[in-house]
Amino acid sequence: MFWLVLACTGSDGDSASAAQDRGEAQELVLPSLEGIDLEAAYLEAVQLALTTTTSAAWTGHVSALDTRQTGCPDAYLGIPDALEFEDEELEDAPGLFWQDYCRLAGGLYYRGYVAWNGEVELDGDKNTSSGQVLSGERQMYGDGVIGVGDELYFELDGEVSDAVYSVEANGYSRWTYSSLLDATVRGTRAFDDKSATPGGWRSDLYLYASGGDVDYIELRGDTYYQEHRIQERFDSSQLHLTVQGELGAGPEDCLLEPIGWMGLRDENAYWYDLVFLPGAGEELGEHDYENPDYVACDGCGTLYVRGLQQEEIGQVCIDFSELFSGDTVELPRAEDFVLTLRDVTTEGP
Amino acid sequence: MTTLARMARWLVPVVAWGCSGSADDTAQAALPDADTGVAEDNPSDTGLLGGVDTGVTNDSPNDVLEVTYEGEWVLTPQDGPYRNMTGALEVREIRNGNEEEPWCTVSFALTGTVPEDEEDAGCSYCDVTLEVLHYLSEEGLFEKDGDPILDEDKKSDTYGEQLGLRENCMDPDVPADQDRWTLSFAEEDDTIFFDYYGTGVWVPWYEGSLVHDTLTFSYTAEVGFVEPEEDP
Repeated sequence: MFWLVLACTGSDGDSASAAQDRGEAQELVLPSLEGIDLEAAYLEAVQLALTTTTSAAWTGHVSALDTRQTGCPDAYLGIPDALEFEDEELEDAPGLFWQDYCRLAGGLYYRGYVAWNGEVELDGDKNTSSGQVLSGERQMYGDGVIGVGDELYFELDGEVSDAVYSVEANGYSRWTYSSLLDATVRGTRAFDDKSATPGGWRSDLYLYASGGDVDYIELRGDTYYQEHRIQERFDSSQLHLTVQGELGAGPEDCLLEPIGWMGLRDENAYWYDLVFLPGAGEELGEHDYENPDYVACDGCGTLYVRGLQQEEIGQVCIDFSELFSGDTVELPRAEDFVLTLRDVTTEGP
Repeated sequence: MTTLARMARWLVPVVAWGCSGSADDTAQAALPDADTGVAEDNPSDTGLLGGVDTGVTNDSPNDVLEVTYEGEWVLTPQDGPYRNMTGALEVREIRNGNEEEPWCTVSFALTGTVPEDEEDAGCSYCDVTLEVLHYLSEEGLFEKDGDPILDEDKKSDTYGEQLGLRENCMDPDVPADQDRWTLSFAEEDDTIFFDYYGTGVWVPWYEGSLVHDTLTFSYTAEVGFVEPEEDP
C-alpha cells in the first residue's frame, strides 16, 4: 500500500485524492439539453416501441429465408441441439428449425440456428353478428445469422413471441396484440432503408395493446437501438407505461397522461427519466404524494436527469392521443403465422 | 536483496505508469463508451459455430428424417366436373433409412365432397376444391423379435412394442384423425393447395397428377432430426 500511494503522488493526483479524502461533494455537471425537443423525443420513443415487436423479427426471418438453397440451410425437426434456454415450454414443443454452418460460393451464409412454432385459427364471417375471429400465436428463438458477403440479412439472438386475437363483425371490432421480446434482432431483411430503426435493436420489451372498442397500450422493458438515435442523441429507451385512449376508458381513467414513467438514454449512458402518474387503483391509494404534480392528470411529466429533478426545465407535456389516431400497432395477418416444413424444404423463390 | 525490496523495484514503475496522464485524460476515460451491443470486429457472426471461415462450407445433419406423404384421390363423377372423392393417404417418417422401425407410419382413408360454399371456399384458379375428411385407418407397426405383450388399449396381443404411432410424427402438419381440410387441385400447376387450417391462406401442399379421374399426389422431404428427450 505504501508503494501505491507513493507512486500516485503528483500535482493532478494530489488534488483529486485530497478532495476524496475530505469527502467534499463534487458538482455533478449535467449534460445540456439545448436543441433537444423533449416532447418529440419521448413521443418518438413510444412510437418506436410500438414497432419493436415480434412481427419485425418474424417478417425479417421469413424474408431472409427466401435466400435459402438446397442444403443451405438444413431444415430440421425436433429441438435444436444448442437450445440454450431453460424454458420447459420450448423443450416440450419440438418443431421446425434450421441449423447449419454453411457458406456457398456466392457468399450466402447461414450460421447457427433459428427455431419456430405457431398456430393460427380463423373462423366465422365478418358480415354476421358473431363475426370473424382470428386467433394466432407464434414463437421464435435461436442464435443465428443469415447474410451474403458483407450484408447481414438477418440475425436473431434470443427469443421472441407474440399473439393476436381479433373479432370483426357487423358494426363491431376488437383486437388485442401482445409481444414479448428477449432478443437482439438485426439485418436488412428485418430493417430496410425505410425502417424507423435501421440496424435493428436489442430489447426485452413487453407490449400489450388493444383497439376497436378499447384503446389501450401497455409497454414495459428496455430497448437499445443499434443505429437509430432519437433526436440524434438517445440510443435507448426504458418504458414502464400504460396509456389509456378515449375508447373504453373508465370514469377514473386519465386520458391526458399515462401511468408510469419512461426514460431515454444518451450515448454517454446518461438517463433522462420522465415520470407521469405514479400508479393505478390500489397502488395509487397506498402512497401519499405531497407533490400535486405527481398525481395531477394534466398530460405532463416531471423530468429527472441522472436522477435529479430538472426544475428549471419544468414539466414536459406530451399529447399521446395521436397513438390511437391510426393503427396503433401493425397487426399480423393470418398468413404471417404460416411457416411450414414445405416452406423450408424447397428452394427459395 | 530482501523480498520486499525486490517487489518495490518491480511495483514502482508499473504503478507509476498506471497513474500517468493528465487530469483531462482521466475525466474522458471515466465516461462510459456508447454501448454498441455486438462486438464490432465481426458483427455479422454471432452464430453458434463461429471459428475460422475456411471458405465454402456446409455442415450436414447427424441424423436424417425422411418425410413422405403419398396418396390418391379417385374422383367422381367420371370425367368431371368432380363432386366427390374417395382416396387414401400414407404418411411415413423414416429415421436414418431404418424402414423396419419407422419413426411414424400412418394411413388415412379419405373422403371428399365439394364444400357447401363452393364459390367462396376454393382457391381462385383451382380446378377442383374438396372438403376432405381424414379417417385414421392404421398407425404404427409392431417391433420385430420383441417380447409378447398384451395391450388392452391397442387391442393387440401380438409381439413387441408398437412403433411409429401418429403421436410420434415430427412434422407438425400431419393430419389428425377426423381432420377436415379444404384442399384444391390446380392442374396447371400439378399442385394440391391447402387452405391452411381454414384460414384462407392457400399454401402448396402436394405435387399431384391427374390421369383418368385419379389424382395421385406426394410430398417428400429429407430433413435433419434431433430426437426429443423423453421425460424422465
